[in-house]
Amino acid sequence: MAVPYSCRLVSRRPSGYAPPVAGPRRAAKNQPAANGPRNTEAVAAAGGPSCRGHPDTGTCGAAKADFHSPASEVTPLDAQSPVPGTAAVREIDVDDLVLEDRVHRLLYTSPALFDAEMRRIFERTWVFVGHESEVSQPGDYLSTLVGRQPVILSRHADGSLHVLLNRCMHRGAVVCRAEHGNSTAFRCMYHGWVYDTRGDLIAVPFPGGYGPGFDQAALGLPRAPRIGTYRGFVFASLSPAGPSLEAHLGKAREYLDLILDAAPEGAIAVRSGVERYAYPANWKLQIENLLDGYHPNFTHQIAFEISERRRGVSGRKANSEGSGATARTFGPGHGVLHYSAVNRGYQGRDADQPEYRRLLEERLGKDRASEVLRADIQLFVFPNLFFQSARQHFRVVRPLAVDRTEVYAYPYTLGGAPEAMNRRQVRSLAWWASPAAFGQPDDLEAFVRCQEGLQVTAAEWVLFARGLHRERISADGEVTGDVTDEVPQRGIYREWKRLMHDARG
Amino acid sequence: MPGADRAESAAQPLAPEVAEGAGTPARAEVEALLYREARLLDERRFEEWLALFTPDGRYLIPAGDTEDPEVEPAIADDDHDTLEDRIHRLRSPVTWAQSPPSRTVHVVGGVEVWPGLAPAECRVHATAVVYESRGGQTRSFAARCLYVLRRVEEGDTPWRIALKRVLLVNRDQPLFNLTFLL
Repeated sequence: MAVPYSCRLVSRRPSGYAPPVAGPRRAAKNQPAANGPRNTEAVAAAGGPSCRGHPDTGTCGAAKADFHSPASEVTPLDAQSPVPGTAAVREIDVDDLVLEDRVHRLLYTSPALFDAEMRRIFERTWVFVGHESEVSQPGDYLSTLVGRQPVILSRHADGSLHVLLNRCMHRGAVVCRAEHGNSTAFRCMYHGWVYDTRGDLIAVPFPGGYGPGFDQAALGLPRAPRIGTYRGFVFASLSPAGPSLEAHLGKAREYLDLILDAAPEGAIAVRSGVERYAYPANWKLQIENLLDGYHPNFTHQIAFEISERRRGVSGRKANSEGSGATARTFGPGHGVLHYSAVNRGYQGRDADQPEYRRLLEERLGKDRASEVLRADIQLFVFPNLFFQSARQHFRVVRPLAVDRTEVYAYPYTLGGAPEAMNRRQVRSLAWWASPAAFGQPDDLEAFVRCQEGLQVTAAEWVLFARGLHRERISADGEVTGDVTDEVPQRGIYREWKRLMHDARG
Repeated sequence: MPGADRAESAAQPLAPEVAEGAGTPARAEVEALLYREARLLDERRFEEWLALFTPDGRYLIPAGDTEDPEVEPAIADDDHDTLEDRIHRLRSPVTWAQSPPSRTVHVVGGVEVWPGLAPAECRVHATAVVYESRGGQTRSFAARCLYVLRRVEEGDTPWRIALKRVLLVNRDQPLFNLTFLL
């Protein structure tokens, strides 16, 4: 049920008093049961349990926001109502922030919520860390982030993969600053402690200075409690408990297969550089945008115009209402834009190379090869991994602060495909996904404008209502809508809410 | 960073051991061309800027240290057609990343000239600092610019740009909005 867009968020009373307004609370009941028991939990500022602050400032103690303000019955969530001495009851209920068809502006502006996102989403769920082909040889390593935490993905001498927290056990310095390389060990530059590629502490200079209680074996680099791979994509979870990677990916594996089966040898390689870009706005603006089939005709009008003039094709029709392309969400926040019905996939570009098609048919059979060649999909794997089959790359969104984000776009090559085809694909990424490209920078302009506009407190909501009335749900729970519908975004925020609910993170 | 060593290889075309060749232009002549190029960009006279390029001219901003944009994708990797498109984009009111447009000042210095590797060509190294102001923010970008210039017969400028390669000092960092011309 939709809520009038003008309605304001209601603050809850400690007494359980329900304010006499219809609105978001009731609408929220239409949420899938998967959201679990409601859990009103304080989103503390980084300072910890005794230090709860205003979500917009992240300050402690003296912050003047109180979501239980007794002053009025209906209070904007981010109203500034000074109530001295009530620091301990400042709370945000995620149910008040994410409704079926909208999310609150605080999701984009609150440093305290950003901290909570890092703990409850990025430090808990499965996060992509690298592809096996990036660390194919013993001693190969790469460094990256899981949420805000630096990690190393390394291949040990015995061939095993490890995700190590990048932090010397002595004084805390990162032991590896290179983005990637090959080494038998990581030596901390500060006092020379040396760890092997499995994380074991193998040398401590001047060891005589440590007494008998010093347990070198216990001082290896901390490891990600869980690590899993699917078709070479390595994921880590910083939480020892939770669904398996297989369960987390769910149907995303089918879509991933559809993308990766384009490699005649069945495997891709990620060794072709990276496009990096940054923007001064919230990370979720990017993940919302990656599966947003509503914006391209407007944000990318000029790119489409140029593309049509040069190549006779663009995404204009595919991203028009009723084109036959679909937007889908499934599982824990994953989603797909499915263009196979309207675009030509590899068929239009490279399948004209008979050799490529032959190799593919040899491995997959005619039918599956045709399906793969026709496939044109964009896949989002919650919380921050995105694939675009047509531009043969995937992207990783790195949240740095509530209003600061970096994105890494990795081209990949199809194992066994003609070299010229792979090279062309790598080269083509510059046209869309670089900071100087013809596509992506116009999205970044939108994100920056959103971040500015979301400072307005008179309007609190960001709307994801499009197509809510025409969603189709399949037997396996996948929700499908028109390509221009905000189906994937609703999926993202259902999962966001489910994870943010749980205070154990 | 492992890239630090490789960064130097990006300067390969500057191999100074190549002997002075016949027909290499005087530095002052090259400087005049580069200053003019900078001014045309800062005055948003993009079509005149493009006319400084040969028909097979390229504008390349690498993202890493690899020479080949088919091995490592570049920040910009433009042939003449793509440059035309880029200028079309810079002129369009619906290019949101350039609405409002960037104002720039290109400061060019350190111009050195070497003979080219092909007849009627020379190679140029210059340093550039580009100030860009847009949307209430001013940013600066520093780069080494490597040019291949080719002598042509027609026009009032005997030397045209066959390649402009812009090596930003921070090209290995995630950057925001480089949709203006460097």
